[in-house]
Amino acid sequence: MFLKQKKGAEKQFYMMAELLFAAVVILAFFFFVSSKISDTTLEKNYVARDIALLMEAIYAAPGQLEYTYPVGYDFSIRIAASGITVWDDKGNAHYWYSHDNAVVHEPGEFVFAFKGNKKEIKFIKKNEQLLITCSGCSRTALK
Amino acid sequence: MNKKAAMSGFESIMWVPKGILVAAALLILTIVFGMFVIDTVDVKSIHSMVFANHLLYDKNGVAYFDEGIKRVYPGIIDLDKFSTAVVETNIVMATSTLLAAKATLNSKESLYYKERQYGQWFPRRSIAGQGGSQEFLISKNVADSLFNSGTALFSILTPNTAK
Repeated sequence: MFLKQKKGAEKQFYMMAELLFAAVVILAFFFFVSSKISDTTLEKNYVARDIALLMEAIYAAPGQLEYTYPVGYDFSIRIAASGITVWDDKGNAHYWYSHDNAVVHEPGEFVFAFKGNKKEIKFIKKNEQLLITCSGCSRTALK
Repeated sequence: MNKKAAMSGFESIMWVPKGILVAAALLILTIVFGMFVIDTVDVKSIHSMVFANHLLYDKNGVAYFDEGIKRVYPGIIDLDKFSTAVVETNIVMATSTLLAAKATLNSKESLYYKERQYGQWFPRRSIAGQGGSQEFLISKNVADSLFNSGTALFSILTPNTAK
């Protein structure tokens, strides 16, 4: 009788352990899915490519130009001659563009950190000079 | 060893294949889920078009620019500027892994942008997978600085590894 009871308890223990193992696995998968859902990699890649293509189109445009680009996200954006880097606390995305050597970037290489409601980058191309300013952001010059 | 102890040992050993099975199931689920997650935007085709326009319409590209009145003539190609050296000096891309181009004017004059990469990627332009590349052909009606009309054909190559 006692032996039978012990064997039953052992079986129950193994069953509970199996259920616990399955629960841990399911939870791990849910955490993975949840992290993918809240991930902003697509948005960062999109913004990096969008601004890079815009920069190239601005260089291609003959004559003078003024364009306001609305930024829909609270990202930090680095605009450099080597490309556009977009990042937040979850990671970064980068994309390249070809720039015109004769056109001077003002004020050189810098980072825009966006936060708030009105987030815009303004591009003004005039006389071989490309002036880039922003609203709804803080700007840090890198060089 | 008594029968009960042997049974318990057998149950413990049976946990190994169970664990492997669950780990395999989790891995497969993760891979299948990952296959449906889109985290990048393919802009190769658009970038090729924008790049062709950049070469063609930028006054420091191949577009004809009248210094006297400071005017660019879009669609008119300055034959003096239609060269690899001029374009590679004036239009700079920091990476050599994104695109390379060849422009041909009226099937005669040609210029290259990142010529070495173009030479490497051209034979692999229809190969799928990591080692291959993709070709985008863009044709534009233009005129040269002597006002002879014709066609500029841009062949833009991007490696399949570029994202």
